[in-house]
Order: sequence, then C-alpha cells, then structure tokens
Amino acid sequence: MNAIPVILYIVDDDPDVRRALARLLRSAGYTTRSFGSAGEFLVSGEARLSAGCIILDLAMPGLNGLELQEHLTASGCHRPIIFLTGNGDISKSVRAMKAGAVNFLTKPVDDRELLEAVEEALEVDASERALWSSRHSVSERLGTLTPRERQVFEKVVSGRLNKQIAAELGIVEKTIKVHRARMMRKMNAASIVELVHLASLVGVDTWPVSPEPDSGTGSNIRTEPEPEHSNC
Amino acid sequence: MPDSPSLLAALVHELNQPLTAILSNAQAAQRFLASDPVNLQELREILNDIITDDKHAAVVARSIGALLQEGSGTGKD
Repeated sequence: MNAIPVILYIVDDDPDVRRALARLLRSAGYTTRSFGSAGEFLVSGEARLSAGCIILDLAMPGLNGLELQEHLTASGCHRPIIFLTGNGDISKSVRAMKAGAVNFLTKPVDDRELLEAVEEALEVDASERALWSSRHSVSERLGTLTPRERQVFEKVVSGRLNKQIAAELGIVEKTIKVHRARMMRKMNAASIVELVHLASLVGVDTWPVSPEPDSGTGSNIRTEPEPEHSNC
Repeated sequence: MPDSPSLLAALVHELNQPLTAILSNAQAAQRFLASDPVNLQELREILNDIITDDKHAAVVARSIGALLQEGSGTGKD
C-alpha cells in the first residue's frame, strides 16, 4: 500500500496557472499531473491509480469544479479536493465544503496557504485509505468463514455466551467452542474486544460497542463495504 | 449597456489568472533558489513566464480601464 505514488492533480483551464501551480508544488517536492478540463481529468481515470489529492479550479468552462466533484463522488471517488476560486463565491464554497471539499482557497493563492491545504488533504487521503484497507482485509477474512462459523461470529460479536449460542443454533456447546476457536483464528482476532472492533469496521452489528449505530435497517448484518468506495 | 457588469466580471477574472500565475511562479522561484544546486534553466523559464503573464495582465487591465471609461460616458477617441 505504501508503494502507491502520491500525486497531486491540478485541474484548471488556464495553462499559465496550471504551469505555475505545478512548479510551485514541484518546488515543494510533490509530483503533479495537470489537466485542462474536468472532462479530460475524468476520462483519464488517473486518480484511480494513485494516492493524493485534487486541486480544482471552481470556474471552468464546460464541466465546472462543483460538477466534477459531484461526478467523482458519484463514481465512488473520495479523493480530497482543494478548490481554487477567483472570486471567493461564498454560496459555492459552502456547497463545495458540504459536498466534502477539504479546502477552499482564493486566487491568487499564497504558497504557504496552498501547501498547508495540500498537507491536510494528503492526511485525509491517507487515513481514508488506511480505513478502507483495514475494512477490505476484514471482509476478506470474513469471506473465509464457513456459514456456521459466520453465524457463530455474529452471535459472539452481539454479546452471546457459548451456552446461548448453542441453544440458539441448536448445537452442543462443545461444537460451538470448536467453531468459535476456528472463527477467531481465521479472523485473526486475539480477543473478543478485537473481534468486535473488526465487526464494527465492516458494519456488522455488535454489542455493546457499536460505535455508530447505522441509520439503516434493523437487520443484523450488512454486507461487506462496497469495494468501489476506495479504488479511485 | 446591460452587458458591462458581466463583461467587467469576466475581465476581472481574466486579470486574476495571470496574477495567480505570477505569484505561484515567483514563490516557486524562491523555493528553487533555496535548493542546492540551483536549477538555472528552471529559473529562466519561470522568469520568462512571469514576464508573459505580466504583459497579459497589463492588456486585461487596459481593457478594464477602457470599459470603465465607456461606462462613465467620458470615453472619447
């Protein structure tokens, strides 16, 4: 995962601005790629292949910055966006921030301001990637469980004791213990606390520490996170 | 002249672009100067771009001036 290159994407219709911003970011040690329009950037699919953030001009002809942001979000791309705008349009900046932009800067932008925003965006990107990566890994481990082990897993993380699980599944407690031990090994969990944490990462209802009760259905299980969440 | 305010806004935006490029170029140059060895070729390109951007900004500024004169009714040739 650390091998993924960090790239800053500059999307601005003005070639002089693009070149200057790219230079500034390069002078601070970053790798950049520039695009002259939102469409060009979308078509390239570049942001899928790397870590980093997007520095996006708000007012572009064709697809504008806000529309590009919507497209990226709709396609499951949650790469952090720093908006640059000429005229500090407050209503648009509010809209952009609500839609998840990490920052909103006014042109001409001071180097320190831009570089601080970039650092912040890269931190956001890194933590989102780390979260996705651990979710992915938990999902993979879940996938190795047999149906019975999966049932035991769900019962254990919802706080049931072996005796209760045995009664609920109609199997003897001794067998439950075997399933449980195998399940713990496959999930690579050393303790119940750890197992509950893993379960909460992939949205399996847990007891007593469901960190954020999801607004959704009452069903005990949500399936694994959608893979497309991360891969842009 | 109903178009003047939007035209003016467009020109102001147009002026802001070279100003943005000039600032980022100049600040990039400062950073490149602090590196060792200094990349002179890069600095030359930056200075050329700053000059071009500055001239571009001046053209836009003149257009804004002309538009304002026109708007105030004092523009005569």
